[in-house]
Amino acid sequence: MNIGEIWTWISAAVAIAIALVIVTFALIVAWKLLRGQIDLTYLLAEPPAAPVPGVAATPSGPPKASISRFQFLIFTFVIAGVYLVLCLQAGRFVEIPENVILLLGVSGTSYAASRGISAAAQTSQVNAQTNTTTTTSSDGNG
Amino acid sequence: MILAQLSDYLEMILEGWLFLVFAIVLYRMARGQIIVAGLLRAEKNAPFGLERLQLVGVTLLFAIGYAIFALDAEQLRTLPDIPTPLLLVLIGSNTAYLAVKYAQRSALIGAGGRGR
Repeated sequence: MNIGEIWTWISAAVAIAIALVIVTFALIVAWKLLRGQIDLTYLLAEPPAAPVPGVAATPSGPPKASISRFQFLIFTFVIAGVYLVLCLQAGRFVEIPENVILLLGVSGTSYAASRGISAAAQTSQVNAQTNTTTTTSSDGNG
Repeated sequence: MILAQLSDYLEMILEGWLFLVFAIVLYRMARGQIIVAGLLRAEKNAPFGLERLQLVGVTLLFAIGYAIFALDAEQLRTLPDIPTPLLLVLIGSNTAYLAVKYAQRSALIGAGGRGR
């Protein structure tokens, strides 16, 4: 066995080890998803907000799915899936057109803006509630 | 030879894994283990929001169309580009949804109600 063949076997062994690590990670994630050990309940909905100190907890109602999250999930699955398939077929990283990146940017920006609008509404509501509480307690003291 | 075989196996496993994850997400959505309630309504018991319905429709049509087109044109060996007019439709759809949402939240705050 000459030096060239030895290096070929070493590179094959390293490639197999790397492939095993990647496949093991993938299988662990898939297994935990199947068993329900990775919680997907809030994949499309916002988790309940943490209580604000000094403000009485208000019933927030049942969690509601976010349409922006839904869009983000769909586009990520489609673009990432197609990209993975094409890369594996081509055996190299394929080129990503500008408009595809723009598409993900639009989706991400929409999600961020939607969260911003919701957060601003919640902040206004908490501020209004705090002001009401302060006014009521100062009326009671006076 | 070994590396080529390894690459083929890895390709099959990763494609299968992606399909499995997608199937699990769809299955859990169908079983109600992923919250999808309220996707088309701004508030509980509110009527269907047209701005939400159009965004879901545009998103699904766009995603399905792109996936079919991309996988059909697999021999191109590159991600297919998205025509600018289609991208503008999507931007318009998102903007309409955000504008209505902003208006609704502003109205709720103004009326002293709660927004979600």
